[in-house]
Amino acid sequence: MPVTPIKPLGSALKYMAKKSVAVLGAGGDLGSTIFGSLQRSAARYSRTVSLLPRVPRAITATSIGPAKLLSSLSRFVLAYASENNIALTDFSSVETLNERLENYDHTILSTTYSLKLARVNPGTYEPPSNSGLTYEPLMEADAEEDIQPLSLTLKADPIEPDGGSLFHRALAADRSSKTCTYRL
Amino acid sequence: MHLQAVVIIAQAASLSYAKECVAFLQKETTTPFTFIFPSTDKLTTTKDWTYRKGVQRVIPRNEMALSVATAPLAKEDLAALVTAAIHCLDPTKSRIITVEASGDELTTSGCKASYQTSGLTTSSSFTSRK
Repeated sequence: MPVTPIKPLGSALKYMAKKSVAVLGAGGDLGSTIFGSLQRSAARYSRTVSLLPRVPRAITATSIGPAKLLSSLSRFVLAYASENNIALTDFSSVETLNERLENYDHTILSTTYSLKLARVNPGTYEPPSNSGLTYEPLMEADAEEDIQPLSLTLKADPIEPDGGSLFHRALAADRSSKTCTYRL
Repeated sequence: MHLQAVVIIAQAASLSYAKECVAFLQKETTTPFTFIFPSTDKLTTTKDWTYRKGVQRVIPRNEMALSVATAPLAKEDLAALVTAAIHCLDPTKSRIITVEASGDELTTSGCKASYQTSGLTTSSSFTSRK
């Protein structure tokens, strides 16, 4: 098939129009693949996705996310996820999620997440709760038996029944910001 | 926060739930979105995929509907599609992209050809919602 020049309208439109991208639930196999693709794009091309100072961000909840992410990145040559790329986040808190998405242009979401109950790592996003456990959302293609799938409705939510789903909450995070330019 | 756009993947979602999500996005938000709806819930892994190959076996569909085709969609293709969408599509407009897996063999012609194959040449290829 002949290759015809394309006119990009997104982040490849201008040299300095790099976009910063955050992936929610990057610990899953699909999320890690998306993160790897974005990270390689940022490293390979001088435009498109921002590499510095706002690196592609993998937003996870516990150390399970980065561990799964790093193991999945082996399919990409030269792809990496350093400490700067990973933001451990309390997904039950809109404020924390809002803080993690601060100054980011694009957010990659999924309508469905798998949830894995895991222990909160000390010294991460906040002191552990009473139980010390939280849910790690994973953007995965297939849910395992021991993973509780996130609700398929917008209203019900296994993490916080009154707080809306992760999909809902991630969108609401921007809405709750007092200083946002773009409001959802 | 200056979130410009969100890319949402309706993976493993039913058609009714996906439409519910789109309705929510259109009604409740003003942030432009790119809603990627794989017309199959079967995702697979392409072992010999590399980043430079880009989108390989994805073809766009005109309407948001589940496909009767049973070919699984590669996760790598979906990831490359997300990256290509950020590169190529106007972030100020919203759109719904329904994709399915083609039965074509893998090519090595690079990303530009793959973008063209997947229909990511202009934003007019897709349903513009705003």
